[in-house]
Amino acid sequence: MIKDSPLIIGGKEIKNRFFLGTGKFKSKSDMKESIFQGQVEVVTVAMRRVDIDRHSENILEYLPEGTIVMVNTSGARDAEEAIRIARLAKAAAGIEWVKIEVINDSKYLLPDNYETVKATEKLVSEGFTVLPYMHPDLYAARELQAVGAAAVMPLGSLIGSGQGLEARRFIEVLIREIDVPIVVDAGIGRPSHAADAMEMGADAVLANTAVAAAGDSPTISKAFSMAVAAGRLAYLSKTMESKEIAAASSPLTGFLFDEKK
Amino acid sequence: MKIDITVNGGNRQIDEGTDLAALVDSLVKKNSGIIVELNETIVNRKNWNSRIVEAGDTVQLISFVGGG
Repeated sequence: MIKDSPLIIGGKEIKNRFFLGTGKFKSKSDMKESIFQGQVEVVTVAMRRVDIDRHSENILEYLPEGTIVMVNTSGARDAEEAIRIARLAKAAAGIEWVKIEVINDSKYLLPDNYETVKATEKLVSEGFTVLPYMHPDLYAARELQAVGAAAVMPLGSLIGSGQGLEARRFIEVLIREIDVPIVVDAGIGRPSHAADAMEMGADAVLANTAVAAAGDSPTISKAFSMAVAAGRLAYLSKTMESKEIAAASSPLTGFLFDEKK
Repeated sequence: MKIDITVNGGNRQIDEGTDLAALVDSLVKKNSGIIVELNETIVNRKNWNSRIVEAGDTVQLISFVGGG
């Protein structure tokens, strides 16, 4: 039986390679139950101005103790804004894990790789554990690795689209060429997508909408965890090659019936 | 006397001499989990009632929310 090597990010050993975003859930208790059923260790949160007319509670209060909280820099349009959000999260709650998310277009929500590299470099120098969300470009990934990113998070497809691994070929390139962990993030729609990413050799998968928008979030969160674990085992087992023609699974001799003349 | 400040990107008029604690309480029912930035610097909760908001100040009330 193969023994996996641990996933280590920012000096922490992470047992569950399924990371969960906390946005868009039907309720905070639904979100909390999803974390529990999925046995999730790593979650993302965002920072926003308080809606003065209807302030709801602090989401951090709903996260189980010991959860690794990664603040995303959603809302940031450039490196400077991303850096500011990270610093705020650290000052406010001691959060040191940051998912750099720099997006300048509201239609496709595609990340700006250039600004992402700038923000990563600065925040790494300030002691943050930085996981940049990026468009799977090999040059940008190399830069991110060079400036000290703890992992690289290429998108599978457009955020919230559930399209799955549209960018698979380019994610595969990163998996082959980049040394830091690869966390596939964005566009995951079903547990089978997550299993697929792990079979390809990704180190972890992050999903949010796929869980929050499912009919039963806690149940699908559990399914995601199982799928990620299954995909990881499959990758470690080195799955078989596919063929163009059939190859029988049962013996080709000793048939019970004579050949027809 | 009233003074003009900016709160979460919008203009507001408040009484001169209002401290941050009073300002926050006038805006939200429960202030748990709220982070306050005054002119782009976080003000520690324990200092809210000793910081007086001045004319032209920019105040941000921020919290952690669900996000992907």
